[in-house]
Amino acid sequence: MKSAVAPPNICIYRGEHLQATMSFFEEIEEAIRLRSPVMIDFSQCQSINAAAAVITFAKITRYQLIADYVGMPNGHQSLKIQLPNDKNVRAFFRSTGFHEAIRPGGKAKLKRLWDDEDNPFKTSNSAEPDLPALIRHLKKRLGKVPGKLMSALSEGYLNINHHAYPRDLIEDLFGRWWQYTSSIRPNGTFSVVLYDCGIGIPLSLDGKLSREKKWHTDDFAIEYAMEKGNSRHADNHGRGNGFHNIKKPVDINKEAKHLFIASGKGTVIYKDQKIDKSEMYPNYSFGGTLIEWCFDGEDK
Amino acid sequence: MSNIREVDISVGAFSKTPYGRYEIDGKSNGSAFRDNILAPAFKNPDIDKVNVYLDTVEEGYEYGSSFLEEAFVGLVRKCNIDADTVRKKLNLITIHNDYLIEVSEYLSKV
Repeated sequence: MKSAVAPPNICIYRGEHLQATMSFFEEIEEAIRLRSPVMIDFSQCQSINAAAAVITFAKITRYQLIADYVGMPNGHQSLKIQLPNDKNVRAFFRSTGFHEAIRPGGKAKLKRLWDDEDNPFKTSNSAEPDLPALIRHLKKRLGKVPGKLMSALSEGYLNINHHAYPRDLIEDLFGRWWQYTSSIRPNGTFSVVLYDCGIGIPLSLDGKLSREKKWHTDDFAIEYAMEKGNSRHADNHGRGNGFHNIKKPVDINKEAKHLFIASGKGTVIYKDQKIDKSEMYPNYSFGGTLIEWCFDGEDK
Repeated sequence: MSNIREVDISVGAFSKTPYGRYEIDGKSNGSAFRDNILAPAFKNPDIDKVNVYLDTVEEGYEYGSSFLEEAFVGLVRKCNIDADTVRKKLNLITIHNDYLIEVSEYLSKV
């Protein structure tokens, strides 16, 4: 059995943890490609942050769905989980709902997760998501939901359904998104993360950008997508407003901290109505698109 | 006595959580709302004013631009209704000014 060994700090924000975290994700991806049984080994794990937790949740459940779909001998049971050695980290995995989200299971587990309003890890590929359930879930987690967060999420789901995946993908994965809503931490901060395992913004815009520009990097492609009115369509035709919705929770809420987007091999941080930081990681791919709305709970 | 002939449309009667642009986005999409509910009223020469009540949806729900653009601007782009007619007849009723600004902005550019 292959092993995918989680590093002590599963984190995509900080450069010193990025390489080991990406290698861990790649090991899970390799097990998916090889249709190989795999042990996800969290034994050395000391910490996992929100964005990395969502990507881990996505990679593991993607493996489980594919294992059932392709008829691997033990189906989703082909993926085993080794929990952290540290009992505090183990307790953290359980109390946050992360263990429930990644434990062995297939579609029935994902349905249970969806129905469990207390679990912050959600995934769906329904063409018309159960918005009332999502509204209830956000209210339960956050109390007062930041303005325009709900519309940002629903435009995010639409973008994923329309653009993120190739049409020939298996039904259980096409249009699928993974979401995590943190609780409000003691320092008042909280975040909401939306992730898909699709082709990424840079590739979905590649044709259009290649026609308009001779050369572009992935972070540039994300910045381009964030500009109002820009869509992958040649003439836009009233499209390209979705990202405007996605930026809005950060633009209009005084407690908003920033918007973090990782797609393809690029990342962009948006705050105070402008791009704050834009980076390219030539050696790593985020395996889709991740959007995180961060709030600090303090007046600007 | 006013001679203006009006019709009232509640989005909430169509769906409590309108979502998306097209049929592939589910039954509560903007095209369905436009084609089945809005367009007949806008095409009817006997109606001068179409009052659309936006705030009749699920509590906590927020409109996405996909639905708004497809439903209202689509009247011009897809139903071949003159943009001036849409602007003149449309009366959005909501406490959320940003929806009014957004739809107005889309209609000014169509």
